[in-house]
Amino acid sequence: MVTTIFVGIGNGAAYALVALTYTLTLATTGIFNFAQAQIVMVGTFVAYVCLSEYKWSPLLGLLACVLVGLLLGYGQERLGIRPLEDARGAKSLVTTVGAAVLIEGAAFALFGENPRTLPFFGGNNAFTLFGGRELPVYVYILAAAVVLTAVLHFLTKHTRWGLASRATTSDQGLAALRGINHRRITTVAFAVSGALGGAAGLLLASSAPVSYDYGNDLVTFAFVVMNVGGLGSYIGTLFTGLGFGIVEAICDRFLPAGASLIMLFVAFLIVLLVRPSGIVGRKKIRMV
Amino acid sequence: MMLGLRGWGGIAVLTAVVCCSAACSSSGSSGPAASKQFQILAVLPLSGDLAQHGHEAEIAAQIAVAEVNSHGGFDGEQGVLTVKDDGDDPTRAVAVVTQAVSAGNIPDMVISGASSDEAVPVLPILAKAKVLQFSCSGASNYNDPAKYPLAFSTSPSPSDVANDLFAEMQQKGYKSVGMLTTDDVLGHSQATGYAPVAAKDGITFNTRYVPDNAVSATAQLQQLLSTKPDALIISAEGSPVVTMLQARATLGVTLPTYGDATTAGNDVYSLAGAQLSKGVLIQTYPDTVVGTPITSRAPFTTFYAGVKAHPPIVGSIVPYSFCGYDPIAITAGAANVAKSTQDSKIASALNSGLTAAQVPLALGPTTYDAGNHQPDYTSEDFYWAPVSPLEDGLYTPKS
Repeated sequence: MVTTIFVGIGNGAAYALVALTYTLTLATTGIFNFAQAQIVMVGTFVAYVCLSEYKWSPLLGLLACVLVGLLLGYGQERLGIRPLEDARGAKSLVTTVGAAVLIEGAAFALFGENPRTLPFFGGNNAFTLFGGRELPVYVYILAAAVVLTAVLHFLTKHTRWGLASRATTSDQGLAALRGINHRRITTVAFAVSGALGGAAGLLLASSAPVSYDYGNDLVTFAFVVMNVGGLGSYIGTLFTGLGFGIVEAICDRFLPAGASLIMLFVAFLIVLLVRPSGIVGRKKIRMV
Repeated sequence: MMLGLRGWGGIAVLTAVVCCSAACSSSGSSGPAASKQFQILAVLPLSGDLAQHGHEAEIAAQIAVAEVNSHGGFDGEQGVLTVKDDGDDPTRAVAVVTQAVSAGNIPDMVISGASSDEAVPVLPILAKAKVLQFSCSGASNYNDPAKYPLAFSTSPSPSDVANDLFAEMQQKGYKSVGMLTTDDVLGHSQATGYAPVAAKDGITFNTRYVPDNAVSATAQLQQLLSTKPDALIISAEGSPVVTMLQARATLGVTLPTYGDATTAGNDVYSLAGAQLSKGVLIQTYPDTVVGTPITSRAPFTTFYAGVKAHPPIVGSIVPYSFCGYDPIAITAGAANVAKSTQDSKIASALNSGLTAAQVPLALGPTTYDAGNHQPDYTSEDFYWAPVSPLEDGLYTPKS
């Protein structure tokens, strides 16, 4: 049972890590970036190429992942968001989905359909703790998710940038009247979430096969985690991700195949009915 | 309208030129000019998720047509290959095949796809048009001779795979076996096909399903281990193979682990790496292993030389031989036995159970019957190999 819980926490941390990068753009700009999971997917390929093919050190690999993610996020904002008159709504939905398709197509053209595996730089032998077993990579993923949650929460609540971004999400027009440059906030949010997505790719590449369609699997889980946790809430996203992973693992352990997805989506629907803005979400942001 | 002598002369010259050029183009580069050609339409995934396999099948089909033509063709008719892309999309596959059978020039044979998803939807269209169909589908719903008498496959049936698999298990003395497979049509089809064979061999058989997109299979493996198996089978394609082997590593499972014929279609070593695939035995085919009788002599050597002329070979040789080469080689043998290129007569020849000598260019088994359009695979048609790096698509066993 302890192993099952560990598996759930590990997978849940991975979902939360991706969902946090989604939450960053949503909380600061009000835009849901559908291509975020594809940026994470690109990060996994960059990690694979740097660490496995060029034999770079993990630190150099991390820098490459961050740089590529940052450029993708920045480029996406400049080309797909900024030209829109009002990016919060259906228009950005179309351009972000378009960016997702474009990035996935490019990854397929470059790397083909065959998945790849990247051995974890921190070791690949499972360890035993409290009678349960887990792979080292999931400890790093959990640590990354917790640290990222703390940093993003602090930045949002205790810095001028956080205040400005919250003001922009709340009322873009009013924020502009107060001298807040919402375009700059949007650009920074996309670039930073891209960089974080790329960095997440370095860890996620060692936890699951690296494949061009990896982003498709992530987007559904991240979307649900973010909605249930509370749109715009980093802490809500982290805890929902972990809870989501644990419930999924317990269902997979004791129930027939497919039961975990049914259970999770039933929970998702109940939360949407009872608290449409999520468990700890702000009422202003509502995606569904 | 009357034509003058000069006009008739011109028409005569023109007709002669047209006839000559038609004769030249139809006769190909060797052999006597044939009046009729054997038209082969290959509808393959040249784009989309299975594009790699589609291109491999295309190369193999070209090699097969050239080989068959140089050995006398399809009962004397030279084969002509046309390749069309279905994008690994069943809807597009249906559209391409419908268009082909609606046009004036109906093909004599259709090779449908590199997966069951492409092969199964076109079954009724080709059955209605009475066109011979070949695929590498291993799905049980493809194999329905009563409904689709002209549809044949090159892949073994799940029960043939299971016969060999459980014979191996029985030989090792295992009483209980657990299988991890994917929660999709193929996975359920395999589990359904394997269960009666395991029961017949007195082996307790349990299956757990892992979703295609699962990031972990550890919980499912834990569930399977609670049934106390003596050995573990992994049956999957692509990413889930890695997920399942990762689960095995996480739980520190030391049980003997086998990859069935489905798993053998992958290059498991490069997919999962040395550490995860250590100790796994793969149920592959003799024509994927260096040094077996099949790979040591023609027609394999000719086929393989042709494949190597189109590098790189990514992964296993299986998509080349099963999806592109053998459908054409087997059909040519059957046409020669039937002494006809009529599809119904080719099907009858196939149903009569062709021997290897009657189908000299084929690489795999060719024995079909009226009730089973997947070839009969015996234990001799499988080969157990430890997972190791593939070299140009082939396993090289260590001495």
